[in-house]
Amino acid sequence: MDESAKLVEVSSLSFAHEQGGQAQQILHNVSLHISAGEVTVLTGPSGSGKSTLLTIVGGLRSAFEGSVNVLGTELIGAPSATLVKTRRRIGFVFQQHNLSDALTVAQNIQMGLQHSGGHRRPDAAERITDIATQLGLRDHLKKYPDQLSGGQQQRAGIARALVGRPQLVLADEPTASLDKRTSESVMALFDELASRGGAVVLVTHDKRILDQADRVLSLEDGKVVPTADVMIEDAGKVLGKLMSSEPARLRRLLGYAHGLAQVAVADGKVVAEERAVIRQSLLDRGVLQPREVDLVMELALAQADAIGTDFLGSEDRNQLAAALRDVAEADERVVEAELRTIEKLLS
Amino acid sequence: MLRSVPYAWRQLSQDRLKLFAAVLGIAFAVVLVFMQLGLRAALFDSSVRLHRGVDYQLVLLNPRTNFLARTVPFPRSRLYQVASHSAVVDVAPLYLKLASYYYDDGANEHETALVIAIDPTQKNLRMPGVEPYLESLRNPDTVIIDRYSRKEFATSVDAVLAGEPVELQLQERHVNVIGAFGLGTSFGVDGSFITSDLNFRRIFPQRPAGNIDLGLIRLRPGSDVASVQKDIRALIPGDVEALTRQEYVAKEIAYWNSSTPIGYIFSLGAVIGVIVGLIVVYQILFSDVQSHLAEYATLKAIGYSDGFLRSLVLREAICLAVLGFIPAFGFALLLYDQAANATQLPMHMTAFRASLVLVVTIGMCALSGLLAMRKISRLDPAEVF
Repeated sequence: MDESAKLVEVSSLSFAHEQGGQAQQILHNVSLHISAGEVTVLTGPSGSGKSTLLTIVGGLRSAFEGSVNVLGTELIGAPSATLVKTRRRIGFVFQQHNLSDALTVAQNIQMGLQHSGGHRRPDAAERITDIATQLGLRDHLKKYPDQLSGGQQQRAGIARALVGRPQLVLADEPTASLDKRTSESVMALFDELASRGGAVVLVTHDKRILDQADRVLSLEDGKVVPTADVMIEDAGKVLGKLMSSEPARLRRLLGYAHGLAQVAVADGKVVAEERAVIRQSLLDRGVLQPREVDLVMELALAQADAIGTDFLGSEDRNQLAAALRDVAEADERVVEAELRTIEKLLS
Repeated sequence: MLRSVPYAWRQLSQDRLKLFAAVLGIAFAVVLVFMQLGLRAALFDSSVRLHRGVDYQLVLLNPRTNFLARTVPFPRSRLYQVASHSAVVDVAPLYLKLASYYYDDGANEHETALVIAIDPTQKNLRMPGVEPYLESLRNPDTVIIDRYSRKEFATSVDAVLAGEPVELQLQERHVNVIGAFGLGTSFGVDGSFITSDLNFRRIFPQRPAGNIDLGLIRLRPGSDVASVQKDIRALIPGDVEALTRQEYVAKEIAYWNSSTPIGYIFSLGAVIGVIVGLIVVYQILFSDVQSHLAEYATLKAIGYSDGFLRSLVLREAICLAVLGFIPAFGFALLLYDQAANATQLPMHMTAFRASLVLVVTIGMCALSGLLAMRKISRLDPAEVF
């Protein structure tokens, strides 16, 4: 399959939910696509419309405005039989795995095949054993869900979703109840599925997964927003909270970061070896905790990468100059040193 | 290649205690239906034993006759009128009347018995067990007793069968029981005696001698019964009606079914059994569906259709029906046996009734399932997320 093939293409999708006789707009003019080979994370605050979007893409809910093309099938206005057929081609992982307590783990996994007659394939049993082995459930196939831990149940739910080897997986918080190691194995399975030309869309707040995603899509108030906007806002909020709760500690860390940034760029570049040495040196002195070292390094290297104004366009430079002059005039006294610094920054 | 997951059975058998209670409930309802239908059939079958036990093709009777034990007599001359028809081989009058039966040497206890009188010179009645006694019945005050009479007649029956001389009292008349025949009881008759027409008049001296209760007509082999019936109807005035054997049987059954509360009560009992079963199965399946809603929504979400979920509930219903039917069938056989022994009524299981009740049980469970699965159609798979 063409890696760049779009398995999901959403255009101008709007969706309103009727509540108490009033229509509540959940999604506004959403457009996005998911390509084969991608693991995409869908983030956003609670109520932002992520789950609604996932249910529409999964054919679980009908929308009437815009276009939603999933695995080559247009879902807007599609009859319910088409939605059911499309759902059979998608692997769903639910936060509440909802396994049947009356069935063994193996039978629960088989239910992921049976809807499309997949259990009659010659390799059906092998598929079940394989996926169970990959998820560490090999020894639990004959057990019933109530004999499993929460994490094992979640893995059984994931196995049910993946046993049919779907092209598209839609997962809602798939690693919420899993430990780090199991999360990694689940993500490895998702990666493998993507590498075979499939795609995975995850709704998650698990930061461990965010790092492993090929793409992060953010939703806010039913709209897709640039991920950087979200991150900048989050970073600003985090720094603001840190300053208000522990100002002395933040200033101390910023002092370290500023100093490091100045020195690091003195020779015009920061190489990987230099980063490792700086990090180790800070850790060896024992004055900062490892997590503080991480923050100092991020702040320092972000500044080091950005120090200088070469990356600014002429309009940005003019705007920055004006802003800096406003800063200098803020105390109603502009001194020579301030003007020299501004000139130096803009040169 | 794997076999399909037996989802319905797994779901049903998950909670064994609940399943046992469910099967018990259904079995109870099915036994109720079996018993009501059995009693209803016994009512009809027993009421037409004589109708079916005697050889004739047409019968004459008074149109005001309701049922066998409550006949309205009509003139015997009507019977001889039809004897002239070329298709008629012979005719035989039957006399019927309920009599008080005193036993244990005239002790005060008495039961009501049906006295059937025949012309002992008629050898073509082919009533089971009667022929050997036709000559003896010509003797004054002789009767034969129905060996299948209810247990209140057992003293007399046992003595006769043991070859002992038995004398008892019918109405005001002392009679000798010289043998036994086999007919059986009904809801209207606890026991029967057969005697000659002359002895009948001795037992019921007030009864007009020229009246009979039934006129049996035997036709030549190959006669067109309907055509002869039409001729006979034209031959006799409207105070007597001529019925074929089937019509006579149907008339008797119609009386018990429609004109007495008994037939209605048994029919209602069967319906109540079905309703009880419906409620039991509905309760079970509704609570089952209710407790698995999240699971069903998940199945719907991953690609199972409403049809699959409906068939799941239906399969559960059918499993319950079969599981409930099997013990109920066995228990009903036992009860039929018990009831037949106690009442001498023809309580026996027929393949038709067993099949009918099985179909009704499956239908009852399926209907309950259909009612219980309404929630499934309203399930929103999107709620799973």
